[in-house]
Order: sequence, then structure tokens, then C-alpha cells
Amino acid sequence: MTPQALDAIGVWVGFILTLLIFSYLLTDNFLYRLTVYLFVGVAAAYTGVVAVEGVLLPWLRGTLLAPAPQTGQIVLGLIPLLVGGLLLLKAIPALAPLGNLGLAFLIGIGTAVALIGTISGTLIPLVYSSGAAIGDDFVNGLILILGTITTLLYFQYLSVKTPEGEVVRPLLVRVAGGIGQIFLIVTFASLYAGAILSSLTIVSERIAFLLARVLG
Amino acid sequence: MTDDRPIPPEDEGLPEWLRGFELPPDDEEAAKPPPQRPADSLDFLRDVGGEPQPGIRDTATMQPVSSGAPPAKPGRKQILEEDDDLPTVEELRGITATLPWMRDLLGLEPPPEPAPAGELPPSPPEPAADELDWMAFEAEAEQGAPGALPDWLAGADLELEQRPLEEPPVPPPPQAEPPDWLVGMEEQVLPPEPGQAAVPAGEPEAPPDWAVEQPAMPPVEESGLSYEEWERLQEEAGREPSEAEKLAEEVPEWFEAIAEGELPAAEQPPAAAEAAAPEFMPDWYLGLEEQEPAQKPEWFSAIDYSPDALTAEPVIPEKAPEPEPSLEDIPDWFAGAEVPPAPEPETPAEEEVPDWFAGAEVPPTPEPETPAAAEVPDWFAEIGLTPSREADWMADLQAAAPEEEQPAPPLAEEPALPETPTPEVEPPRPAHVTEPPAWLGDLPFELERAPAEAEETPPPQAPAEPVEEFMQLIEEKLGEVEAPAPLTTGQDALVPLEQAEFDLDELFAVAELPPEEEAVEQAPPPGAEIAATQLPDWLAGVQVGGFSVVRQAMDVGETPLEELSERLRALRERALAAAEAAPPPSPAPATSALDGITDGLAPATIFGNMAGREMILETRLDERQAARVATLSGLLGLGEEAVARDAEGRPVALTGAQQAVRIAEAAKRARARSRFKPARVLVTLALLAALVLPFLVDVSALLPLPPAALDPASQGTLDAAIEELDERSQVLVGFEYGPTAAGEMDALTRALLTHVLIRGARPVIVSTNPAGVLHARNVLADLAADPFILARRGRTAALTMPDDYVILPYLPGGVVGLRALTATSTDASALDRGLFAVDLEGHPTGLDIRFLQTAFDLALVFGERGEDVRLWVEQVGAVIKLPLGAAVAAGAEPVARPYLASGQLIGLLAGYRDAYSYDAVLRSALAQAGGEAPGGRLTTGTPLPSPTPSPTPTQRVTATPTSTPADEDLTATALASGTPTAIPSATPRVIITATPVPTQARPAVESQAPTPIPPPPAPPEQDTRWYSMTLGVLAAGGLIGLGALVNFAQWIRRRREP
Repeated sequence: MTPQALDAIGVWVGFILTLLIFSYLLTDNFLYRLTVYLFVGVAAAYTGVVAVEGVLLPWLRGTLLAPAPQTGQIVLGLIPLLVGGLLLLKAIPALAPLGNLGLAFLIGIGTAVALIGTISGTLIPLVYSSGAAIGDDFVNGLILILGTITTLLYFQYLSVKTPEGEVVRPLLVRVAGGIGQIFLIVTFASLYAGAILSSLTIVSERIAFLLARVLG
Repeated sequence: MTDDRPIPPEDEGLPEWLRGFELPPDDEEAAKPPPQRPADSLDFLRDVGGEPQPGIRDTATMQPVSSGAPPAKPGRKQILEEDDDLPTVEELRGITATLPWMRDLLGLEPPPEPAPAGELPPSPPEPAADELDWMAFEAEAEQGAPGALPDWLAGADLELEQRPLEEPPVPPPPQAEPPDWLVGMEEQVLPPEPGQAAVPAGEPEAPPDWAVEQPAMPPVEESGLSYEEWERLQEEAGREPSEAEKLAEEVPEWFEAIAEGELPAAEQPPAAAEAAAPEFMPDWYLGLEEQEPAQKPEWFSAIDYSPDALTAEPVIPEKAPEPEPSLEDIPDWFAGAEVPPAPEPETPAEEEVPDWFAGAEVPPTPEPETPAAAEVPDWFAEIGLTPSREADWMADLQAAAPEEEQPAPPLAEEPALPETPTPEVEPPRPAHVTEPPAWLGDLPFELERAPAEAEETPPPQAPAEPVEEFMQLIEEKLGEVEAPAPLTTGQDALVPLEQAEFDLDELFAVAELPPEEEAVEQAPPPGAEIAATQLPDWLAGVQVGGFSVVRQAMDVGETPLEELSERLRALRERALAAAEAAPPPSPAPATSALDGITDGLAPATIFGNMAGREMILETRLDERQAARVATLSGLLGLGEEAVARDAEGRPVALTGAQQAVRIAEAAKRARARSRFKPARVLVTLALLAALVLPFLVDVSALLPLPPAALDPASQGTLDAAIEELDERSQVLVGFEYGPTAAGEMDALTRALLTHVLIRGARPVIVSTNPAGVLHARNVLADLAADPFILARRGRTAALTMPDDYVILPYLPGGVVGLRALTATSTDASALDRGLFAVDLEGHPTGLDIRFLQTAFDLALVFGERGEDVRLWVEQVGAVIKLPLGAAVAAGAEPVARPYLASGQLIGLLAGYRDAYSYDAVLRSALAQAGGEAPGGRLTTGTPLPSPTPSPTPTQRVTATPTSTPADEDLTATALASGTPTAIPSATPRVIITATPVPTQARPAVESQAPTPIPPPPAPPEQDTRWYSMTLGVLAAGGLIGLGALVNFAQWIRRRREP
């Protein structure tokens, strides 16, 4: 079978699967679910293959399976295997605590790396730019600062207890939280609009694909 | 009873109650030591002498020391000076002059001449260590340090003299064993081991307070004995006394002293009067001290208290008075003994009145006094003598008691009513184990005293006659129970109270309430009933005072109607109207058990007339319940099938089977309805129409196309950065999207990568998305074969990897993997195993990536989500300081936009609109340039760079090992951009020299003459997709707005609905 034939088969398979996915617009049906399962299965299988072929085997070939490996290579190659083995112990209840070691290792390092990146890559630069924006455009800068502060105040839950026993937030915090809530609504609305726009873009691409196959 | 015995002549001088004493038939039985008695068994003697005098209390008088006992040290007695009626200590000394055991305790000298043998001989001093342990505590308390006293005694107001430790021991009392009435006390206060009589003084013990007051050994100057002599005396005392000695020892010698009238006055140290605690006066002695020797009766003077007379066989009086025993007065030890009749009446003590009768005032009754059989000292009964007559002398003492009313003893001193034991119970119950003796209640520091109000409480209200009759009847019944029993053996004389036969009906018939008229006449004050029944005794006489609200309310008369306020008057009229309006309840029918009783609960007909009615076998629902069921069924999608109607149209509940069937059918229909949603179909059709319409109909006239220009303010300067690339540039590309976002992102990717490839740069693609790697391969494969790109690059063959582009393997680890991407090493050995070592297919890339900021000229991120862009900005852009541009989906634009504003992104393209614009600008620029390099920004319309042939060979890196002795580890080299740098030279490294790049890494580029290549026209579907997407957005917006209006209308309708 030639590559062109394979490509043609692939296009038609994609066409059929696209129709099956669109069948969900009518109702939830077996064909739709079958397509979803197929996609999930293929994606998982491909991910597994990529992990083995692109991660594990190259690592082993460079360390443990390297020709005449040195001690450092062996140790370096065993560390990921050891941590991975500990994670597999999570499936055994009696040995699950050992798996926490590997999990703690991953979570700890991941959290530390993410925290450093967030502070140095997002928090500080954005705060700096927000402050600088006031000088450039006072109105926009003021809106930016107001939105930031009020949004942060919206997520604080300190409250006071009135003599009547009712627990309420202070008036200033309530007002600021209300303004922050407006900013949140605008933000989520923009995100939702962007998601709709992306979805429609993808749908249009699929429609174009289908029509190109149907209409030629 | 043994009343028929004649009284022997020799007993005529004895009190009557002593005449009946007789020796037991068995000598061995008489020789037995007396059983231990409870400490509180002497409480009965308190009644003999009347009420206890509160003025004088002598702890010494209660101690069972014999004539040989050491004299009490000063400070053992205390006379309360405020009571003049009480005998003084000197008088007591006179009384006790002939009572050795009392004399010793009072601190007097022992009698110079011991009594002859057989006549209460003085007991020789003997150790009797095991029998005098209770004295050891006193010695410890006195000889030891104050610390030997227990804590509870430390606070007592006692004056304890500190004796020097070197004082010789005082011989113990010669009495072999203490009186039985103290045995219980001994057991109570002494440790279990008898040998502890010789416990050293320093050893901490916790003797009782009364025991602390007693000396163990008198001082040497008082006793005249050394320790050896005292010890010898103790040993002699340890021998078994004879029967006569026992009898003589156990008979109180104060009888003799009283008879002889010898009341020598003895000197009493003042300290003794101060230290003596008044609380230690035994109860049985109270009253005796008030008897003056001159006031004794004549018969008392004629009594022969000689030992012979006392030990002689008594003669039972021929006729004894009619006994009136009182079960309450009979101690345990005397249960079953013969009770002689009491010749004189006696008012029962108040403490013997039961609580429920506390409030009643019992008038003096003519009944003879309760015989003192129960009041005979137990030590006297234990020797085998059977009293047959009452102690007249005690009656005289009672009669001679002061006439004034003695205050009621404190509640704490009230002894519990003696429980009538059964004849089988022997020995008597040691009540002292759990209950302290009554005299201990006088102690101010251990037992709680009753409040002073108890003594000052006025007597309760006058009792009703039925109560008196009731009590009288009880006494009669008790007399009937005890009277006929002959007191012969002392075992079966009394009938236990449990076995007594009472006719409760007869008893309570007397205590019936008086007639109503009498009750009205004798209306008690408010609260009297409560005081008589529920309130405690000391509150029984308390009445409602003048300040009581109740009393005041009762005294206030009715307010005239005219003086009432309007409000109260209206309320009154309303209440009256309500009372008049309420019809009186009709009398119950004749069948009711409450005939004639009105104002009661109306009878409810539970079962009506069942005649002619059918039995209801199903649950009936009223309309309201049926409506609720229908509502719930509607919410569950069941409709009203869950409610059925009977023949009369009334709702009835379904049976279980019917419900199951109907619910299953309703659920099936509900599922069918849930699958087909008309609203969803309408929305779907509307969107599809909007999306498909541009492909079928030309809508270009309706919708404009995106501008063919880039706005630097919103899109940055990414195009300019790409434009500055050349064939030696390398671009790091983050391919962070997969096939799911390909429909939107591919347009952006193609536009940007086309520009990069046209500029001759080599993109190095890395992805943290496994599917992204695969999709990048597909995208690059298409671009590699694009004729325009190939033409611009002067290539006839497709671009290949890794010469024209590089797709790295999947980068695992997410954020950590991205961070590791920047952690390149200057170690050349890392090139063989680093992330850039091999491509997706496992081929060596030949990249020399040691510093990202020097190896790459630009970084691009194609992100599906805003999170992808953020991670790249945080982990890569902030580290390597490379110009970073981003192309994201429209949904990720809000997240990526701030980074563009902050300058962390040099350019941002979002969505299909920017892709369309960028592509249009690029084509426009290429067309305007006519194949020449536009130079500058695409927005300016400058032409793209003309396709130039790649140099042969391409020198990506020029490295010349210039190792010097001074710096062996670094090798001077030059980066692709020409920047000189240094790399470690000691480690193996890949040196790319000026030699041609291997074909595998960089294929040779065909040398072609530069020819202008106009850009191809944009595909027609590009505009169509734009129209389709635009129409779809408009349709979606319209549908969303329509939905919002519908929801708002429904909300308004729900608000208006009741």
C-alpha cells in the first residue's frame, strides 16, 4: 500500500470519525462514545509509546545499557528507576507509604520549580509592569490597579460579628469585593468568549475538511 | 419476760434495772471477751441524761481507762465558762474521785489504796500492747512532732502539749482490754496490726483527733514509773484476767463513787480547761454532769455499789412495769434481748421522729416511757446479765433534767435510727465502719455541723389530730409487737419491724384528711402544705412574709372596672366574650365514663359507626396530598402516574407493583425526552447553518476580512524579530498543542514557521505534549515540502531533519522538564546525552547547545492554553533572556496578553484572525518585494528577503582549539552569531570546524541563482473559514443573547407568580 493510499484512507477515516463526533449534536449515542473511546485509547497508546520510545529507552541506552557504563552512569540510571518503582508501590496498600517518597520527591521539586518560575516570571514582572502602566496611561493603570486590588479583596474571607450575632464582611471589603467580582465576571466572560471562538474556529476547519471531501 | 421473779433482798438497794442482771449459765460463755461493739452503740445513753449540755465537753470521760491508767495530762478538758448551769471541773473531779478511770483521765492522782481483791480490784499494770494500740496513737501524737499529726488535724483548735521525747513511758492502763463500747472505736482508729502500739513517735500516723488527746504514757513525774517498770506492768496486764476481774473491770466504778457521794475536788490545771474540747463529751454522759450530789434521790444513796452487790446474782423483780419499748431506741447489739418495761412515760426525742413527721408537734403522751433496755450499756449486757427492770436512777436523772427546753442538737449529732436487727444477726452490724459515732459529730473540724438556723428554727406547725392518732396507733402497734415476748434468752424477744403485722388501711384511715369544712376553717397560710410535705424540716415553719408578692397580691383588692385602662377593659371584655361564646361542653353520653363532667376534653370518635361501611384497605389521599405527589412526580418526570383515582375520583396511592411499573415507564420516557432536546437541536442547527453557509454562499459582501496588517501595540514585534533571522539563526519552538487545537493553531504555526523557514533559520521544535510532538512532525512535513518555501530557500528537495529543522523528542516532566531545558551545561559531554542530542527519530541532531541564549536567536511558543504560554514565559523566557514570541489560541489570549504588556513577549498572535493577518501581510510583503527581501517589518510592506542560496558548506560554529598553558580548560570559540566565547577544553567536545557539515546534519544546499518568486495566492478556503468562523461567532452570540433573554423572561415570570 502506497503512502498516498494510506493518506487517502486516513483522510476518509478522519471524515467518518468527524461525523460521528458531530452526531453528539443530536444526542448522546453509541457512535459518538465509540469515537471518543477510540480517540482516548489511541491517544493513551501513543503517549505510552512516546514515553517508552522517547524517554525510557534513550535514558537506559545512555546509562545502564550504555556500552561499558561507568559507575556514575549506572547510579544515574538507577535513580529514576528507583523513584518510579516507589511510585508503583502505591498500588500495594501495605507498601503505599514507600510510594509516598517518590511522590513527595516529584511534588516537592515540581512545586519548588513552579514557585520560583511564578515569582520570577509572573508575579514580579507583572507587578512591575502594572506599576509602570500608571505612568504611561493613568486611566488604564488605575483600572488595572483597581481590578487587581479589588479582585484580591474579593477572595478574602475575614469578617466581623455584629452585635446581633450575624457574621458579615466589613462594608469596605464588601464594596471592594463587589468591584472585584465585576472584574472577575469580565475576565471569565472573555475567557469564555475566547473558548467559544476557538471552538468555532476548529469546527469551521472541520466543516471545511468535510465539505472538501464531500463537495470535492 | 421474767417479771415474775422475786426480787432478792440483796438487790433491793440496786436500781431496778440492775436487779434483773444475772450471770449466764455457762461460765465459759461469760469468760468470752465481749464482742466488739460499734462506736455509736452508746448513743442511747444520751436519752437517759436528757439532752446534751452544750457547755461542758470532756474528752477524758469517754476514755476507757481504768484505775491504773496514767492520768490525763493537762489540757484534756475544757469547760465553757459561759454556761453556769453546768458543773465545773472541780465538781466533776469530785464525782470522779471514786472513779479511777475518770480520775485518771482528769489528771488526778490514783487512789492511794487499791480496792481489795474481788471487789473491783485495780487491774495491775500490764503491757497489753495489742489491746492498747489505740493509746499508742495518743502517745505518738503527743511525743511526735507536729508533723505527725494528719493534715486534717493540723487545723484543729487544740492545744497539744509537746512532750519531751526522753520522757519515760508511762505504764499502760492495767485493764486487760478496753470496754467493749470502745472496741469499735479501737477498730476504727487503730491500724490493723496490734503491734503498732510501740510505733515510734516519729513514724507518721493518722490517729483520730480524740485519740490524739489521750496520753500513752504519763510523764515520769506523774506516774513515777520508768520505762522498764511500765513495760513490766504491760506484760502483767497481758495475762488473762479472771472472771471476777473482768466483771469488776467492766463495771463502771463511777457507780461506786456516786453511791458513796465522794466527789473530791481536784485541782485542775488551767491549761486542761482550755485544751479540753467540749465536743468530746460523750452523749451518754450528757446530763449526768448536771446532777448535784446533794440532789441525788434517797434510793440512790441507799444503793450498794460494792462489787459483791454488783456481781451477785440479781433477782428478777416479780412484777415489772408494762414495757413500752421503742424500736428506734433499741441498738443493734441489744436486738433480741429482754426489754424491761418502762415505768415512766417519756417523750420521744425529736431526732427519733421520722422526717415526714418532723413538722408535727407531738404532744406529751401518757404512755409510759420507753424502757431503757436499749439504753443499758452494752458492756453490761455482754457479761451475761439480763436486765429485768428499768434503771430507775436513769429515770430520775431524766426527771431531774432542767425544765427549760434544750435546743435541738445539731443535725450532725442526730444518730440514725437504729435498724432493728433480726435475731439471727450476730454480731451486730459494725455501723462504725461506715458511719462515725454520733459524738464525733460534735467535732468542729471533721464532721459538718448543721447550720445554726437549724437550732433556731421555730417548731413546725401544729400537727393535725389525725397525725397524732396515727402516731399513737403506731406506738400501740409497736407495743403490741414487743410486749408479749418473754425475755428469756434475749434472742427472740423482739419481733423485727419487718415481721410486724400492720394494717396499713387501719393506719392510714386515721390519717385521713379532715372534712372540707374543717379544712376551710383551719386554712393554713400559703405554702403551709408545701412546708409540711416537701420543704425540709427547718423550713417547715417558714411562712410567707408580708413582703411576699403573693401575699401582697392577695391583700390587694379587685380594681374597680372604671379604673381599668381601655386596653385592659377591652381585654377583659374580649375574654368575657370568649368565655360566653365558648359553649359549655355537652355532657358526655351515657356510655361515657365521665358522665356529668364538663370542661374536659371532648371525646374523640376513633371508630365511627361501621355499619354499612366498607373496610378501607388502601391509602386515601386528600386533594392537597395528591397535589404534592403530583408536584414531586412532575419534578421526577413521572407526571401524575404515581397517583391513581378510585371509582369516585379520589386520589389513592398505588400499590408497590403498580408504582414500580409506572415509574419504570416514566423513567423510560424521561430518558427518551432527555436524549432529544429540541433546544439543543435548534442551537446546533443554527450554528451549523452559520458555519456552513459561507462554504455554500458567498458572504464576502456581508463580512469583512481581517486586516492585512499587524498592530505592534496588540501583536508586538514578532514579525520584525523573525525578519531579522538569517540562515545561520536557530529558533527554539515550543510546540505545545496537539491535534485537538490543530484547526485553530495550525494556521498560526504555518504562518510563523513559513516566515522562519523563508528566512533560512532552522527551527528546533520541542514539546511537553506527547501528541504535540507528533503533530509538529505532520506540520513540519507539510512545510518542508511547500514549493514556495523551497523556492525561497533555493531548494529543490524537501527540507529535511535535522538540517533544516529539528524536532526533539517528547520533553517529559512538564514544568520541571521546561526548567531542565534551560539547564544546559557547558560540559561538552552533555551534548551526547542532553535534550538536544537526538531528534524525534533518534538521529543525532549535531546541535551544540551549551547556552540557550547564545545558541538561539528567537523563541517561539505555540500554545493551546494560556498555561502553556505562562510556563514558557516563567521557565524559559525568564531564564534564557531570549526574545520570546507566542502564538496562542483565542481562548488563551487573556492569559497571554499581560505578558505582552509586560514586555516578556515580543509578540503575540492569537486565534485565526491574527493567523490570517500575519499570512496576509507576509504574502503581501513578498508580493510587493517581488521576490526581494523586504527588510524590516512586514507591516511596512517591505519585501521579504530574496531567496539566497545557502552557503556551501554552512559554518554554524567555528571553533578553534586554542588551548593555552594558562587556561587549559577553556577553548576560545565563536558562536553562530559571531560572538566569541569559550568552552571547556579539558572535556571531550564536539568541535565543528570549518569543514563541511556532514550530510546527516546539514545537507548540502543546491546552489541556485536567485530568482524572484512571488508568493502563491492564499487558498480560497482561508477566506471561507474566516467567514464561517465569523458567522458562527455571530450566531453563537445571538444564541447566547437569546438564551439570556429567555432566562430573564422566565425569571420575571417566576417572580410574578404567587
